[in-house]
Amino acid sequence: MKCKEFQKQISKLIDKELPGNYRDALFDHLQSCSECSRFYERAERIEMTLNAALRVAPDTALAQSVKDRIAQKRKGIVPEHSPVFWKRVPVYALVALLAVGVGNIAGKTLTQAFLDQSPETTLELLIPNGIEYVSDIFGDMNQGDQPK
Amino acid sequence: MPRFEQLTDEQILEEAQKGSEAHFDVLVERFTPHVYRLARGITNSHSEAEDVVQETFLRIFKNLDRYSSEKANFKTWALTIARNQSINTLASIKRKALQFFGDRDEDDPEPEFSFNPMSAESQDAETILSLKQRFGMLNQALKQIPERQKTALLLKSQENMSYDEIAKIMGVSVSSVESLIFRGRKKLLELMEK
Repeated sequence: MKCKEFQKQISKLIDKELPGNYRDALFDHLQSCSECSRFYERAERIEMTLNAALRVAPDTALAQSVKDRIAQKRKGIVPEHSPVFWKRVPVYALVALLAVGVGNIAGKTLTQAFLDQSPETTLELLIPNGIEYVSDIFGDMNQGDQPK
Repeated sequence: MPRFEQLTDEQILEEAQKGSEAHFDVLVERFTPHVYRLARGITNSHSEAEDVVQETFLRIFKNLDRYSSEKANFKTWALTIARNQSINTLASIKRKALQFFGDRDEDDPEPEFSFNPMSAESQDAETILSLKQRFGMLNQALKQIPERQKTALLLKSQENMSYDEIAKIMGVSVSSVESLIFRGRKKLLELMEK
């Protein structure tokens, strides 16, 4: 049997899931294979770490908060969102503001990039052909204002 | 009427199914730590895990009449719902947006270390410090392994569940659980020795 198969058995041994009839062959192999012995030692140390130094405990108020919510549900009053939702409202607001801000900046950049027209060019297009000076326009206007 | 502590989970559940609010509250008290630990392990977030606990018990309450102890025990059922809720939470767009600002929420406390008193008695300060360092490394490594491997490992190590129970919770075969745990362990070893 290959070492990988023995290492699978080591994993099951640590989990107390290895049938008794496999153990003798495994322990015989461990005596002669340093790689598998080392795997066993390291895997067992990890398991000890998981078991000995863990237990992330919930806040004591969490169970009460769940019970309160179920009680509201029984009475037909269920908040649309869990209490945790409200704690995150400032974060959602910040995300929304950033999205709007980035959207505005991106809009300006895209307009400039695609149209590639300066304000002067736009003004030039509005001036009728054949007129070179501003006085041409105002001169015409003054003539038009004179009483006949 | 016997005191709640003397009743099994199934006896309490039976009364809760008949509509007893007090019995349902006992289930909440008993299983909140289990649901929270699994959710915290999968989502890696204190606030997300609290949210998962809320949603899990709400779903349990809504579907209480559908539960049958012949299919699975209550803990298996509750953790199945908790795992599904955790995966949904993890996959949500909201979660991704929050991850943009960092791996952990502001209100996410560092994991607390509580040592088994029986084993801690014989340990000196140096051993405890070393154990804490190893736990920190392990915690970081757990963040990097796939969800299915992590869930199988957590259910085995934290909840001491059998491969058969884990298979029911995860909706896979027993041999898949064996494989997930084995690959998860190997990956943890690799990551911790980098």
